Amino acid sequence: MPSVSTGAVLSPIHLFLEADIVVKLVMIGLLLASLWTWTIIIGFALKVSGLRKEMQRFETEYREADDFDEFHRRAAGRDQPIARVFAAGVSEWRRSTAGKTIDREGTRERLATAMGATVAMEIDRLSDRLNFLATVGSVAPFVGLFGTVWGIMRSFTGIAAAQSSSLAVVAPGIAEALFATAIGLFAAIPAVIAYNRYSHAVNRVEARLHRFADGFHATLSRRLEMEG
Amino acid sequence: MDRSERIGLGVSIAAHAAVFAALVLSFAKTPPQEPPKAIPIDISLADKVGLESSAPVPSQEELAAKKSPVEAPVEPEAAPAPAPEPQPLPKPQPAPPKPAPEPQPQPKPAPPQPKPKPAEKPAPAKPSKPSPAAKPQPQKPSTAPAQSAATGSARRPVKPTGNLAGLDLGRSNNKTASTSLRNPGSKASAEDVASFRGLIARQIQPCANRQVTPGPGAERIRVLLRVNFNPDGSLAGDPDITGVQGNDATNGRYVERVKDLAIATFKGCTPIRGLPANLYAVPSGWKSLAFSYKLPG
Repeated sequence: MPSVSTGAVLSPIHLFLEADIVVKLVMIGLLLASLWTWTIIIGFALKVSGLRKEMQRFETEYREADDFDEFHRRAAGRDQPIARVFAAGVSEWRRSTAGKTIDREGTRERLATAMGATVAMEIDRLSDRLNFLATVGSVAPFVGLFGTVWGIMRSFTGIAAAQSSSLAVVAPGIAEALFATAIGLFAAIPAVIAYNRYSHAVNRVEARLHRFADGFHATLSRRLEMEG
Repeated sequence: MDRSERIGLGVSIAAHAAVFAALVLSFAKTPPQEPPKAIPIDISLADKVGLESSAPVPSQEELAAKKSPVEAPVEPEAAPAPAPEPQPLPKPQPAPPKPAPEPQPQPKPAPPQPKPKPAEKPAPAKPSKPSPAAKPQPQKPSTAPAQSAATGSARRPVKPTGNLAGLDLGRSNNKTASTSLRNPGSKASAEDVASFRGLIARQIQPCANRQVTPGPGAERIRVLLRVNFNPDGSLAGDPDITGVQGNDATNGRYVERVKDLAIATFKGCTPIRGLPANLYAVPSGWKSLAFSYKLPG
């Protein structure tokens, strides 16, 4: 462990290059975790804000539409969760009312189930990535800590080898080791914050989809009574 | 991975690269910090070396004794004068003879005296041999240093009193006793001073090593202190600060702290063990010593 007397000792590159292989692996892993975490954070932010606008527009269009059959022709093909919920309701409605006799109770139940299942599926898809945030948020500090413990063990071995406990012998190793914890926290903190925020966002989207599904279900129920 | 995640991946890679670059650049810019060096800590203890030799008194007496028997035959007439002279002689003697006048006369009768002298103290013996001419000068300082040149000639006749066998013997005996005389009356020699100051420095060192520099520049401050010891090596009261050197505008605020550290250093590692008891109260002994204290670095 050379004691270099330049300020570059603490530069990230130097710390990384000087570190033990295990610590290096930990650092690389944490860095990738951080990259992926931020990918998810940014991607999710874009997705949710897009989703809100889509739902807003879709609900407006839905309220303005005279007839859901005609609206279904326009909107069913859209790649949007709310459109899929709508399409699921419409297709179930068509299937249930295709026969000559209509079981109203059964149709209502099937409509509710079909749209509820679609909402659940959409939410599952939406929150697919969030568990990674949760994992990183809870595990990354420990992984970083592992790297630190390993690195400090190694630098203590260095003390024993150098027969000297001077700071110059110990400091570089400990700095490298602590760098692992730093990266772990660097990855974990945004992940935890994002996980909490996005869990909340997903709940709101889910509630909104459910409200839309309930409203559509009510519309279809009314229509079902008229059909009969 | 859909479109939004691809955007996210791109942005996050770019952001990480930016953070990394910023870190590297910022660390590259920071001025090189001196890594903490393991500096061997030195207490600089100002050694005030006693340049005066501590042992001359007995040796001078020896010279006088040697010469007196030689000279005795020169002036037999002066024999009547002994009465006044014995007085000057006893004056220097009173201290010397007490320790061991009796044991010595037996082992060293008058004739063997010259032999042991050269053996014991070759250096003083040499001057004695050529001295016959210069005798008077070495003698006088021993008996009465004040009366040096002018009175020296007048004294010569007085010395024949050394002829008196009993007196001579007494004197010569005293010379041999000189080694034992040295302790009570002598002062600490330069070697002694260096020795016990080194001893103190070694025992103070661990405490000095413990002191932490209170701030940059503080290690330039040099605190002069006077330390008073008890005979058992412990401190007699707190060390007195007698002066401060090396304080300037940058480290002026650490002066008080360094003073405290200096005192703490001495208080922490006393009592000093192993100091020579016979050099405690003598001139330039270790009863009171001046040190200068400086922080490591």
